[in-house]
Amino acid sequence: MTAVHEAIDPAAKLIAFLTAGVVVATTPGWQPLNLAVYGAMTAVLLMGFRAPLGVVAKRLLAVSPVVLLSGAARAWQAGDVTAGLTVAAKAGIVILLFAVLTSTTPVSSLLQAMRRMGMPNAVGSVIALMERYVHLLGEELRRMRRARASRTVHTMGLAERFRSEGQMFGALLLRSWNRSDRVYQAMLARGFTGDWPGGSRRVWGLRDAGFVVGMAAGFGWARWM
Amino acid sequence: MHIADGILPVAWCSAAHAVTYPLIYWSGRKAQPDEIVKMGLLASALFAVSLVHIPVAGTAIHVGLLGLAGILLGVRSLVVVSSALLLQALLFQHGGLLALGVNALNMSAGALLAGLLWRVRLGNAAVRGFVAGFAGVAVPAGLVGVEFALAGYGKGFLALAGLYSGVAVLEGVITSVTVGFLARTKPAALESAFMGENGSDRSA
Repeated sequence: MTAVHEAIDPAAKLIAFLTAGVVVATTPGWQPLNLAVYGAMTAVLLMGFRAPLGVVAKRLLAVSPVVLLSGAARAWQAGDVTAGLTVAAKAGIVILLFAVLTSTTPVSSLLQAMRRMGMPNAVGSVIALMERYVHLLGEELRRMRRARASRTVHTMGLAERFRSEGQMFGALLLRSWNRSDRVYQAMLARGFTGDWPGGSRRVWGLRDAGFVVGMAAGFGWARWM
Repeated sequence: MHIADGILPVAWCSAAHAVTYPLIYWSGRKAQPDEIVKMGLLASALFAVSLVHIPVAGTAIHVGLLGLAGILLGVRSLVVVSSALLLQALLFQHGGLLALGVNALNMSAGALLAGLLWRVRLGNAAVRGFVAGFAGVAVPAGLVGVEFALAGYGKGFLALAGLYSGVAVLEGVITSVTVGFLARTKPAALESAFMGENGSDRSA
């Protein structure tokens, strides 16, 4: 069964979540009630969008050291625990909001939406190529490292390890450089003109506009209530 | 060194976006299709390398190779660094969407300065590679420290940025070795460097 949010234009989702993020991040001072309402609304989005909880938790966990350190530093600096809690809570909610968005909307759809909204062509093209080749080159690097490990019977010292790693990185860059010529020829053969299309422009329906207005109104109300 | 969303004031993030956007356009100006493909492949390779952990003294470091990006890509590194940061923000939530402009400026400053230092031609390739690799880490770390200090998080973050100088030295060594390898096997890659429409040797 498809979730309702899948019918919403990714551009509408992007605008709605960015608006909500800005509203939360600009909330002044320690306002526990407002923060609690933001948190509840984000939880509703998490459930409504059927976000994969494991993925969201993993992402939150990955950024938590920065958030907690920042909160502690702010509390220490201001001599006020609530100042630190404000930073940590606001950052946590904003990060959770974007985690819901990025874990439930394909990256390619978000990038196409950004392209339609004016993202530079070079950035779109580079990201499209990265999406295709990062895994491939990562696997190539793993194979190179595995081959080195199978040929190296002694434990490498630090200097030898750095020399070996540096040369391996150089070899990978060299292969990528050479491969890019072949990739370019293949892309040309398929009609590549240097433009990365953002997909067809979609006219917003009631659902798209309603989602943006609803999110903005909801978070706006929570801030100024 | 990725600043998460909600940490810095939104006004700063908005201003950084406003500055970054035209800079990205400038950086990618008149990029030919073959150049874009090369940028994409090099960005992929640098991204793949940045995921590798190297064991050092009981712990593990991972390299960013921003200095190498600056050496190989010159002014185009701003496009590549911004693209990689956007992809990281979407895939792993490293950095963020609101803070994307700040992160892009911080990291690109390191890459651009590294590219500039490489082209000054003081010393041999190994020394220049080391300096570029060092700058690629030290500059963004310093900028992050200053931004946190100015945003009211205290000067402790400046000290933390100072600790990064150790990582910068290791990154300088790796960059120096990588540059040495490329100088022996494909010197043109180190000389062409996407420096724009005038006098560049894009095809290499």
